[in-house]
Amino acid sequence: MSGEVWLLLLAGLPLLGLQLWAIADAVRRRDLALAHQIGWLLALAVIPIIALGIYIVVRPPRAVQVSGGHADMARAEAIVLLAERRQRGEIPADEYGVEVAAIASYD
Amino acid sequence: MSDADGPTTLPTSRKDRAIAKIVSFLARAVFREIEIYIPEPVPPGAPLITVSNHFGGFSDALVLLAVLPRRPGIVARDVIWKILPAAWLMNWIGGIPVHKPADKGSATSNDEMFASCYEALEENGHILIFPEGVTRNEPSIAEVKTGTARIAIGARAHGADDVQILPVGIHYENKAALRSRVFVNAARPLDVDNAVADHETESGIVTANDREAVRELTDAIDVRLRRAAPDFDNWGEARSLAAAADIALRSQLDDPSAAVPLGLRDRLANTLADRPADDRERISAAVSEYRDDLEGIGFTDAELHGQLSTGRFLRSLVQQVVIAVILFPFAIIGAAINWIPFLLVKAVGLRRVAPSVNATIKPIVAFVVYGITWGLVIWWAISKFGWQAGIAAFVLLPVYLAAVVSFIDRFVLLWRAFRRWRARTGSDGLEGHIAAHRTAVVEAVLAS
Repeated sequence: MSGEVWLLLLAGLPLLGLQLWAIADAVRRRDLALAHQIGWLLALAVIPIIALGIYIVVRPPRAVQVSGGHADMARAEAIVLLAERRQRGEIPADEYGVEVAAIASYD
Repeated sequence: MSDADGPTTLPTSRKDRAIAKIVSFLARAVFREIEIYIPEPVPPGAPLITVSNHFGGFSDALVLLAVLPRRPGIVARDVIWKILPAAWLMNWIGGIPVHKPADKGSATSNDEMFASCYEALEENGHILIFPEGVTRNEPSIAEVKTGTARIAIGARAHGADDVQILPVGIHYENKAALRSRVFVNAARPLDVDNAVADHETESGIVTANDREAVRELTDAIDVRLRRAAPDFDNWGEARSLAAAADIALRSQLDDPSAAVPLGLRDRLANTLADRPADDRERISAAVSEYRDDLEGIGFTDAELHGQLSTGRFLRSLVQQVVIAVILFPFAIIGAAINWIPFLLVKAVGLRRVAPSVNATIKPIVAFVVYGITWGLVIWWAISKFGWQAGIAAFVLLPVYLAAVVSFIDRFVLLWRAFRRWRARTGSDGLEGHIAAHRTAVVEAVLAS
């Protein structure tokens, strides 16, 4: 393969991927007004590389992972919450024991 | 893990956005996973003082800047301002210098620091304080100093309304390692108005000179910080209770092959650390016995109880190999560009220094050496192909680095899948014996 083909594969392909991601991201974002969304889409279409560079710089960072709320970990989360309530003195030890026994699986 | 509704709100000014961007990129490069737990939101717009444990030096500030809802002014020892690049960095991110009598040649009064903090809080701002005043290498909280309480009460007396204190605990899976996990555990915020209400007199509002009010507020901060942050007697107990929490929680998962989130594990371990000594000893003894079993057969609890069938292992094998093949050419470019800064950061990590010192130095060195390397590549692209190529290089450099990291991750995931598949056949005949010791750990944790 010639140098140009390699350049197209190794630089053009990820740039195209990023360009598509930026377009999808701009459409999906809820913090942008419709006019700004249209502005970004036009810019990404007309001046692709420059607009992509600017979009990546000015886009707010992604949110971090927030602990909790997983359906498949409901029992584990409930046990941790109970232990924390007991630690803060919100439930007595005997009530904690009863509630943990009701939640936990000892298989 | 939800990735959608994190506490990171939109930074307001251009400078805030730039700082948030750089910090977020650095934090995601240094840590494989950043998780946060906030049980109760802080009133929006209220003046806020975040207090945190200080196990990881510079990494603590990096992690908190990446996860906290508003960019805080960081209260830090004024000796940092004596190192020029650090001084520039601290001034840019809005650091507030604090004098410590032990630091030779520093200022002699903290009047300016108090004034800066009052000013920030009066404008409904946000400041970050490490109230122990030192970086710790032990898994426990040192004595909480009175400075935070004096700032909170003083700011209130100067006119700041509804001051809130948010204690947070930073939990590192391995603070000296690159690409490990980190968990930020927030306690419930402390409302300063409520905390000092009993000290209010008819003659006037409580001030920072009221020693009793300062002492009480400091004690309240101390209690919440110890619940949020790791606070164990020693490293042996910290590891033992974390392992016990991990085993007990895995036993409660619907899918035992799923990983126990660091956040859940460390929150439960924190509550175990508060149990009476007898309970903790019983848990540690049960863990020790089970660990001996595991060492005997050469598997971890996660491998033994997250066993993979041959079909699932083969699916994982094909999936990881396909992704690795796609990533390979980009990973090669990434490796070619980044091997020198990578080795430099690795060399810094080999120094025989305290883990907290390593956790400070490594991100700073990484920031500098990767920054210089990428700057040189962008400069080369501009000079050879023009400025559009420079922009393309700027966009692609993080992609190539991500390709290297992801390529290596494929092999780590594949190795784990292999171990879990092997555990299916390797542990036959030992089930009853091991299961009894494992149940003993689960029961010791849940009954304590």
